[in-house]
Amino acid sequence: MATKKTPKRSRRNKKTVKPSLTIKLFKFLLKLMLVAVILMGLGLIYLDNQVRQKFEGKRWALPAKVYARPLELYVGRPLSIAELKIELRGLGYQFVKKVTQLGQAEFSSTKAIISSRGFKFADGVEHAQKLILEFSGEMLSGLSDHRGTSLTLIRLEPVLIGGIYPLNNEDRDLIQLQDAPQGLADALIAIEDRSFYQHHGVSPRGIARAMWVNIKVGRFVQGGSTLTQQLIKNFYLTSDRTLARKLLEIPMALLLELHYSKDEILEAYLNEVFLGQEGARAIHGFGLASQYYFAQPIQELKLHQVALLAGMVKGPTSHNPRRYAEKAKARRDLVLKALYDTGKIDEKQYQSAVAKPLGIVKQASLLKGAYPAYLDLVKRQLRQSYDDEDLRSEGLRVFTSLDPIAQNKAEIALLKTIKNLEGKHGEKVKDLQGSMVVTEPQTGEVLAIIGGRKTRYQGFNRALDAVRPIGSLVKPAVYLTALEQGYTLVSELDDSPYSLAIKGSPDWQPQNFNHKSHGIVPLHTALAHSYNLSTARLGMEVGLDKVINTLQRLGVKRPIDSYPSLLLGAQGLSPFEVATMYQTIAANGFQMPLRTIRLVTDSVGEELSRYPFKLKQTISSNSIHLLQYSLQEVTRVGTARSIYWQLPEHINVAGKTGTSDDQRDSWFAGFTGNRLAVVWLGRDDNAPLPFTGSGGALRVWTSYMTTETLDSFTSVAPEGIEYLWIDQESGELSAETCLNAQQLPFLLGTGPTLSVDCIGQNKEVSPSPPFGGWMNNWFR
Amino acid sequence: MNTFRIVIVSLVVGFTGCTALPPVSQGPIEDHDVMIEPEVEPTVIISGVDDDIVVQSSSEIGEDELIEKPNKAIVPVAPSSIEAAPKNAAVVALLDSAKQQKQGGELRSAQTSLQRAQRIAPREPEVYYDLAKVHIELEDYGLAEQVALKGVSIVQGQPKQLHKFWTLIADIRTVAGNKSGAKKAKEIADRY
Repeated sequence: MATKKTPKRSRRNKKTVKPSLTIKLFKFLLKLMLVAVILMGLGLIYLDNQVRQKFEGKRWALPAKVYARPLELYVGRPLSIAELKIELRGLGYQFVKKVTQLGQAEFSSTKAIISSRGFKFADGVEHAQKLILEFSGEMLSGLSDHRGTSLTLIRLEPVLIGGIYPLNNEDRDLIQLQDAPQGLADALIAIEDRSFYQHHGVSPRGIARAMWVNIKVGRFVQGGSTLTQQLIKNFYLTSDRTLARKLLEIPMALLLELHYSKDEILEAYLNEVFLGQEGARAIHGFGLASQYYFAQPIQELKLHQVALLAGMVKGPTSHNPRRYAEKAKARRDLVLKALYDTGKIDEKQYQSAVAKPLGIVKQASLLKGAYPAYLDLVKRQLRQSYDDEDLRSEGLRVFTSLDPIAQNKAEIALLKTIKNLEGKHGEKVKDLQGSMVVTEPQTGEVLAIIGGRKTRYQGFNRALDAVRPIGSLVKPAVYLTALEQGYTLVSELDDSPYSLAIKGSPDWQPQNFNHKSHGIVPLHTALAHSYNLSTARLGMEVGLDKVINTLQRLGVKRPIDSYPSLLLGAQGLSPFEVATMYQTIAANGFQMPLRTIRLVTDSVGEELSRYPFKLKQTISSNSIHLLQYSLQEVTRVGTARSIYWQLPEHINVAGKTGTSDDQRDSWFAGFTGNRLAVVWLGRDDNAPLPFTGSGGALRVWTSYMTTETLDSFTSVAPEGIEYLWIDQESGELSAETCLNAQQLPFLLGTGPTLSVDCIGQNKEVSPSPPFGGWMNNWFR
Repeated sequence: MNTFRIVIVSLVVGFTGCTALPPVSQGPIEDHDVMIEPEVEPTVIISGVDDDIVVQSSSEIGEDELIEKPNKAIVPVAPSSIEAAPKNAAVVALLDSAKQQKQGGELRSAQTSLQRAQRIAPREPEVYYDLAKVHIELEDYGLAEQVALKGVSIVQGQPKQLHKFWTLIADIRTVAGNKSGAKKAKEIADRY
């Protein structure tokens, strides 16, 4: 110090020689000081402004949250206890012997008691309450509250299935101070900043104590930063350890304390703090950390759990309980000790908490990230109406129609069937891939999407992006075109060898699958058994352009090449596009966009946009009825008849198998009254498969459908349709009592006019019960 | 193994013969996916993954067999009308709140309630009737008409309902300025 002052003294000496100069210098210094004070003042004002602006503005870029559909509970709803468990697991409910708090569920063989958490939907609040659910078989048969009052309709909270993160990849669920259990604030204060409620942002005692500890240990172990300083550091400043940063930290902490209450600061801290890393995603704030480590909302955490989280503030990576369980437990116990020492908990609480295990959930049980293929489609649909920036920062809430139960079942069906196929075919099915789309045919909502056999892998989404030849799945479009042009189900088609001359190319000579021709066949038989020769001939007769037009009316938007090979499915489509096409058939000729998003709201639940039920009739109900009949023949007697080896006879199913050239793709698209599913199996390298559509994809489809509670597909015969008894051999009119008679639908007045002689009485058709009664029910 | 197969096959054939339709000859089945070898494997019960018992074939069943059930059910004839099942209490509640919301001018909320009702009871005509009316209020006449047409496809064979829906379509077309279309719809309505 002394040496520094020496030159000043010498200057002063000079001043005595030239007093005017001294005065000048004095004045100059005065001005300089004034400027410095003004600058400092300005700096403080600027700093103050910064502190306030950021604290009062939008503090964080909040990711959009994407939710599954809420499970609707009402008496009569098809729902088994096993299905309810899938849903509750997704919601992080704890299965206990006796429900005592929110987010718990208990089960007996026909009953479930759940303590729901409640949720604020855009159209109303569902309150948290204890629900008593009774089941009979696969149905919800009773629903009441804890007083036994029966309830009409309840929505459980929706499962959070993912987010769209800010560019810094910070993910957080904002909480309010009152959401956090008291133990959390106590624990943080006890372990990080004991004088939090006394100091003004900086704690000289804290710093002194930290220095003393550091000196004692001989190295830097404590920083002495208050919670306020820590917040400043994380919230306002960069993570660089520079002197400038250190110098700014203290005035900013003081300013923050000047403007805001302790509770406001603590709340910001709870939401800001970094608590873990999952791949690129950074876990910030206790709200998300609670979900991330315990799959429970913060309100439900117990003392030992909050102590663990509070302890992790020190070093979320080095104390990661999933990787360093022992270290994390030691730190947790230290926090508990601090709580005990500060008198926040008594000895009993302390001993009981210390004895508890960490209780961390496996990462896999979190459903966030479990549905990458579905989320992919949601994002694509969102980007049509929202800026990427808004999706990443505005905390939007996106409510989708994903059904976690259906998705779970579809995944099991796909993976199990692939495993079976591998067992049967070995090397020939190496690297077999598959994808699947499941929809509700009446509403057009997408319930489940599988993009590949690694269902949690965020890579290539085959359901949307694998555009593969659809094979015979195209045939309904060919036959529909013919039916619209006046063909009937018994129109005679020629299934003899066919050759078409194409200019500049070799002749087109399609083959039947078995390389046999079938001569003259009725139209409905050709479709049921997927004959190629008759289909090719029929398609050329009705016209390629007409077939393309039909495909477009069925909902295919992709440009389609007008080649004859189109008629046998050379055109590539994605499973999602196929689902769109079959959806129109299932919905009686009403084209409807397949929807994944129901509603988007802002971060507080105000509606921003909705995606309502939309539809447009593009095919007449008469024509579609004839096609629906034929597609049911496919499943009853045609290429997909194996369905009824597993599904009960009373469930009507319509669908079509598809196999591309050289068996490179195995397809099935089909629907019941309440489920439509499209399955594709194949290899990414396009190698041939040892099975067809019915040998592969159909098995996945059937396996899935056996796990669902199905409604039979039933469409009412439109007024323009009549059912006639037809002789199967000749295609002429027959009678109910004749052998070989089958009832077929016709447009009014287009049925055959000639009758065949009844070849023989089919005696068993006479009204002798039980068959007669059964028949009469069907054929009334 | 062969003897075993024959026993199983005859059991299966016998069983299906007892339960399905009387014999109707279909001629030989020839598939797009033609199979060569008759092969039926016994059905076994294995325990499934999710607490449920799953009935599954020990290997594969499907088109691989030429074994036919002799009386495969033909496609059931479509009924000429399906009366809507009695309304579920949840659907009644949703329809009621939609009515109140519509009266209170909360059209979006009414739409939400009706779509909830639709998911529970997609064959309930009143859902489509009320939804079409909400779309009229929202002045989306094109969608209102399509929703009403969907209703028509559900109430086939029920004259009263058809009259109601076609009258609604006539009204929609009138407010949308489609006079000739409205006249046509009115004519259809008058047939019932």
